[in-house]
Amino acid sequence: MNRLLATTVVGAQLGLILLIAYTFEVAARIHFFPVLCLSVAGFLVHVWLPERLRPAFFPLLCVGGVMAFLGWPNGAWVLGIGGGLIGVCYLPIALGARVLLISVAAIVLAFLRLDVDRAFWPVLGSMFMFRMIVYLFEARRARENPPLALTVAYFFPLPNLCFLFFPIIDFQTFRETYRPSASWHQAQAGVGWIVRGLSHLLAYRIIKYYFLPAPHQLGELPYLALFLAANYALYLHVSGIFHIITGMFHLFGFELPRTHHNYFLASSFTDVWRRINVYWKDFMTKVFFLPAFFALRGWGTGVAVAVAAVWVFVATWLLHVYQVFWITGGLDVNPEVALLWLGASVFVAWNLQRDLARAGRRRAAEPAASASERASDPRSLALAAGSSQLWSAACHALQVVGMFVLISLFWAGWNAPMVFPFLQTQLTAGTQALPGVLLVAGVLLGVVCAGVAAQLVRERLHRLHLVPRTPSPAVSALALLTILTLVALAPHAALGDRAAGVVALLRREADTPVEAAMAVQGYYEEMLNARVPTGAWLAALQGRPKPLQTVTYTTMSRPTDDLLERELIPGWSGEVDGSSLTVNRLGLRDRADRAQAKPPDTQRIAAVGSSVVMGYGVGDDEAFPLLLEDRLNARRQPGEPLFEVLNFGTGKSYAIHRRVLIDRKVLAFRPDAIFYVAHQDEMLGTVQHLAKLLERRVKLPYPCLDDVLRKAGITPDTPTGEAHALLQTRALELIDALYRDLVKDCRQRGIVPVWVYVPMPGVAEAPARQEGFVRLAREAGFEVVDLTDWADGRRAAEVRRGQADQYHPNALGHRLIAERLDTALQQRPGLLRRR
Amino acid sequence: MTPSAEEIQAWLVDRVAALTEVNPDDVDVRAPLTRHGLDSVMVVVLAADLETWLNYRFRANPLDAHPTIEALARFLAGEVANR
Repeated sequence: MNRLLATTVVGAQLGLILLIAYTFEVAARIHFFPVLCLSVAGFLVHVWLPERLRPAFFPLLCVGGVMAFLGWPNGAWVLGIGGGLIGVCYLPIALGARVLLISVAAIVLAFLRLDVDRAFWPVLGSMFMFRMIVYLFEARRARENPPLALTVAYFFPLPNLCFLFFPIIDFQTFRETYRPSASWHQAQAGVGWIVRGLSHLLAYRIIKYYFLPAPHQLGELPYLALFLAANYALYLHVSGIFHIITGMFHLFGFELPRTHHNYFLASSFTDVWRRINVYWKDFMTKVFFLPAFFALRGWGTGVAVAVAAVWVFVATWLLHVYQVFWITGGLDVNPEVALLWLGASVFVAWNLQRDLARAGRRRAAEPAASASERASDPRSLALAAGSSQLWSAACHALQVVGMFVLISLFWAGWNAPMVFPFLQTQLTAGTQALPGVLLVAGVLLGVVCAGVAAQLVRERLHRLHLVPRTPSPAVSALALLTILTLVALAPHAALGDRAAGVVALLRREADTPVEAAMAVQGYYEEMLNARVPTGAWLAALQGRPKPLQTVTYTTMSRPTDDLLERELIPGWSGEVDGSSLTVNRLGLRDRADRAQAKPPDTQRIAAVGSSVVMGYGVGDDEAFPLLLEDRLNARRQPGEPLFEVLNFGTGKSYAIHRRVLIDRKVLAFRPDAIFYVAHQDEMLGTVQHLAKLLERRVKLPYPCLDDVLRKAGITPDTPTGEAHALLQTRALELIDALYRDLVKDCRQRGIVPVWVYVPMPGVAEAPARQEGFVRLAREAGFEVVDLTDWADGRRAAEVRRGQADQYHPNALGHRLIAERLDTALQQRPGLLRRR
Repeated sequence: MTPSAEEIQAWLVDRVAALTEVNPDDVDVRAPLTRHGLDSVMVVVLAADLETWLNYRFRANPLDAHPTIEALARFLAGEVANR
């Protein structure tokens, strides 16, 4: 193809990829879009450069990218320390001496990582923690140093500027697959990988937003099974990012092999190991498994393989700890996780013995097979064997589904161990759990049948030459790109309300309420969301404020008893990221001249809620309760009472805390209305708090809570984990009981109970779940004010405080909430009248 | 009889083709063995078969120093001949 035409075709596809990445806010928190822009611009220059200049161009682009994105001084630290480490690798001394120097440097850097809090560490760690091991391992057999440009490109690759969780690229592969003369075919392959990665990331969002059940649903086995499957499926986040990284390398002539290979279709433990994170597997095989195997060769093949496999998994656990340390700075040495990995190693060692035995059998039968037979797909041969066709397909489908179930359990054990008490509760529920068991078994059987049908149909289509055995990567990429572009550009009218709502949610990079509440924090999620500290230039380009400093809620609050846990320190004042935060003498984040005694002719509203209500991170005069008060008084008619909107917002508080606060503090102010402000996380923390109260054997002040406990079968002797699991399944009931009790109490006192729903943008909740939540408050007797669309279509980034605080609204956010609440009150003036 | 480097190479090509289920003509003797899709089990099987055939014991991972079929065959021929 003509070079200009080819470049135009690839460039056009990259343009669409940019559009998709922007529209869907792909990896927006780790500023993927600007890095992708630089990569595309770099590709357009690279493709026209003479071949001799290309090897130097990519490293220069990478180094320039480090300075441009990380800014001064973080970029300089990364390049300086990294350059020093590379320099040691090039010293004209024995390899052993170089390894020793690098080891000493690594130890010193590790100590500094612990003690010196600098933003460049995650980036430096991500670039060097594994690649240096691989690089030195390769150096053992190298006769001369590799070209410096290639080494620089290897250690400072452009995609690393946004993706800190990075595949362990083998240096030998990196070097040998580099083609300075790469034609448009390589770039087209890169487009294919990026598009595939984007599709994984969007599939990840669909699963996260629509299929991952909320914790309160886990009391039913079908939801529990769905949680296990969806939790494993969230690994699409990793494979998506790794595919994108591979694709970005392809644009510059690095024909790196695939990092993942249909891992959900793995049919054995070793097959999973081969398909998922292939680079990790290769790294472990090369650096740990084979050296151990050959060292232990004298013990016999079987024993050597088994011990080497166990060693690999022990090393895997240690390396994960090592990786978490360099990227997040935390040392997470968890013996339970170690046991989990050890358990996995036993399965893999057992599976390896089976593979070896099978290889032995195949070897014995081999002379009968011709080379051409061997060249065919073995399963095709089995499928073609007529009578065994169905049996073979069924066995394979059963193995795949069985392996998916086992890996889902392993994954939960690693990333979401809190799910096991739920499983235990279900498994010990006797006949009560039978309908759920039957439903899950039925679904699994259905999947097996669908798998058998898919294999048979595919085989038939192959034989009729209607579908190629290997689909064209370019055609696949174009097809996927077309679908994604159509979804990205589809106008609301063409989709209809429901589909448009789904697309709008998918276009946002958001947390689930659980993530927002940090109740679940998986290993990969923690690593994948680790952020690159960007320089001022990029921050200005993206319109983001400077990184926030850390004054936490703990600083301005003090411990109380178990029921309330914490309260604001009366008279505390300070600054949170440049905004003044003052707590008045009454312990409210409110005006200094407030008095507990209610002035005459005053209508009082008590705003009760979270740190959002408190106005964490915005100035004293910017929190929405105060703005609402100003607005109400500004349009007050002569003769009407003055309005006071008292801010009782506190951080780290949930339904029980708030009820206790109302009883202990709010009622003393004689409010006419209580505005109970709730967000998507309302159901999460309450269960945790109640479980803690039970564990500490605190006498519960509300009989409604005892009722819930009684119905759940929880006694003072129920183990905490089990109590938590049982309570979680009754979260809705718990909230309902608390709400009804509060509403009843308010009505008896003549106080109007108003439930104000203020969902945080950037925290995704399936619309049905959200509607159910609002319905619950209404049925409990609250006057409901639903401010679901308070942000008025604005992007989450516009109304939140910034990258470092994904939860709290900024000043604009508070103004919008106040405006929307004021509008709602104008429409329903009865909410402000005492009954 | 001591096999020559060519015989070992032909044997390796045949074994790699069998293990990875490709046509022997498609096996590149100058490409690193791992590039042919050999995983850890396959390397173990290959090493065990080679040891049996040549009556030779590997003391370290041979692919470290001799990553291609061509290099490995040459190395092994020398080792076996010098035994």
